[in-house]
Amino acid sequence: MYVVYILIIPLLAAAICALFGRNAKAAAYTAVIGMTLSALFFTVNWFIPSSTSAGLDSVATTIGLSTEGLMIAYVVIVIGAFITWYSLAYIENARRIYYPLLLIIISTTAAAVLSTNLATLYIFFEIGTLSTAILVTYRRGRAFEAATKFIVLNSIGSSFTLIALILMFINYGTLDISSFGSISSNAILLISLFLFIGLGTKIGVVPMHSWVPDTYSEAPTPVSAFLAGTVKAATAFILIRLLFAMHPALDVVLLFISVTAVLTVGVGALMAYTQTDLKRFLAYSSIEQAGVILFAVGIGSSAALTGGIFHLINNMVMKTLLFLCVGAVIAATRQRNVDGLSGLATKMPIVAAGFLIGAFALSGVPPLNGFISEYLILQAGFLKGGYYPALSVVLLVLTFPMFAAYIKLFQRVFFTVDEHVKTPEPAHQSFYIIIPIIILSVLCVLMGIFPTAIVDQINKLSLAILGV
Amino acid sequence: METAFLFGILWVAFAVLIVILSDKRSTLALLALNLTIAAFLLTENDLIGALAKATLGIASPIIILLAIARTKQPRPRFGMLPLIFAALLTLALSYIVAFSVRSQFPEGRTTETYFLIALFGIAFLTIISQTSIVKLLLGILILENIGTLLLAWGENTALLTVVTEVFVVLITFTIAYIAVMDFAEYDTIDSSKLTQLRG
Repeated sequence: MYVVYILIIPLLAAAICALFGRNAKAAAYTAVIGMTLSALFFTVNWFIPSSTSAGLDSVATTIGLSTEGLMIAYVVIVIGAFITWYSLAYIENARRIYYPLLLIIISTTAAAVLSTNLATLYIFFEIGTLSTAILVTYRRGRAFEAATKFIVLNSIGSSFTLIALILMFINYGTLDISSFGSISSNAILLISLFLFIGLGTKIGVVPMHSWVPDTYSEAPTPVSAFLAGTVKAATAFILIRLLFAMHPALDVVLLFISVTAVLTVGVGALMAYTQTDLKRFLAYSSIEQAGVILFAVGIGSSAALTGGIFHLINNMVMKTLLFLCVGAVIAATRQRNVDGLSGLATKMPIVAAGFLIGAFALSGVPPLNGFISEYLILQAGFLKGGYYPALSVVLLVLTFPMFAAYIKLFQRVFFTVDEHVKTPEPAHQSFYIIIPIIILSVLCVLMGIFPTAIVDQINKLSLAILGV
Repeated sequence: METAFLFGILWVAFAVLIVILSDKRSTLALLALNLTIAAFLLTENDLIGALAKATLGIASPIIILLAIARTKQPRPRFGMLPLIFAALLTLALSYIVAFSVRSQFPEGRTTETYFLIALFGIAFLTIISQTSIVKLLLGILILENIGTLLLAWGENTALLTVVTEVFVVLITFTIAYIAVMDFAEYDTIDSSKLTQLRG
């Protein structure tokens, strides 16, 4: 049944949005209704599994979708629904390409997460990349340069991914990931490196990260939020699935990924500290978070993968929340430079609270969700032995500048009242902007206080991925 | 074996031409590369793959030529002589790498593997040595061609070849479109200058 929520409803809504053409309001409401229905039906089906879906499930099987990773797809669709609500208020008089492309990106991201067929995975991936490139150009002007960087680097990444997928197909003789047998360790090494470079580019791993700050700062904020929070996390999940579908994952590859991950955390955290542009700050912060997730991949144990998958789900919630808060500030003040903002906590209390929760969650402050997942990852790092305890310590130390950067930014933008800074009077905040911020903030708290149910589900998933 | 050797020489020669020639001429070299790959697929009895490569392989160069007609080639980062030297060096290094890992080559594909590694090296050289967005795109297309050639090693890959080629054309179109828009905005398609202009 899930193929309806992931592909049919969003793509149908995208087609209707495209038909509305110049009627921006009708297109926007269609997108909101489509994604809300998808998220609602998915939620109902998640908690009350349906037994009348055999026909549609066979469609999913035919196009190479499985139920493994359904939890990630569910989060993608729910976050996608929030993004469309937010867009309704944030993007005034959206051009005709906006909603169709946004819905295509949401839909293909969710579908790619569920793909167990290498060909359909590639198709969903490429459709998503191309749609994103066009959407990044939405604001025109400077956005074209950002789009150039995005499409050139991501196409290089796609080429590496394509070569990796073809090498998988040639070596295993099948497109179905779940039917992989065993191949030589040299072939695994080659495929793993191509995969890591290809998907790592899309995740924004150092040194292939240079497209991230430009793209996230120039794309419309809801799009940046979806790219930074959800697409990045979904790509990391796909990397996990493909990498560990090849048994056994090689220690040398895992160590290489871990070292690169620590480097990514360091570069992201230190660069974020120096930023004065709100969106560029969050872009570097998302590079740092990509490093944390990849460190879990590099550890490679089931406990680490549980922590890593939980962290990527958390990242979808936390990073989206932060981007939506920053977007709310930009929409209300028309100002995105930190130096031009001050004392917004009293004027925008909900946004300030949301930002604080998101920042604390991302920094791993207990009892929020980010703390639990980061704790699980670091614990797995210490238990793994070898170089990993030392790498875990380095990673932990490198996250401090990020925490300091969040505190500095929060104090500057929301708390400090600077007489010399003339912050524009914030405009009225729309219901569609505030509601997603409130829900995501509550989720950060709830997933931190009651993590057991989610962690148990993720634990089963990570064991399935490892083939244990 | 001899057929693969002959085709391999042609692929590498056209790829080297892509590195050293101007934007317009190197696009024609890409066209030649695509057509030789289509001919090679035909010798591998992959009729659908060959047809897809021949038809869609023409589309990409045409799109790029249209983009070139609406833009201006930026000053290359390096002159022709340094590029020829770099290409020869890349080829030599590629063959040394290939020779050192030859025991891992798939059975019956030794000749092609040597040339694929060389093509990979040249694609990488194209991407790192150029500033023109068009040249970066051509480098990406060489990489995608390696994917197409690898597909020829598998069985029942015709549909996959078609899918790959369709996406190659879509990628080409998207990059070319953005390059033309970039040119309209900044009067250049020099990637390093664009970064400087943004600050």
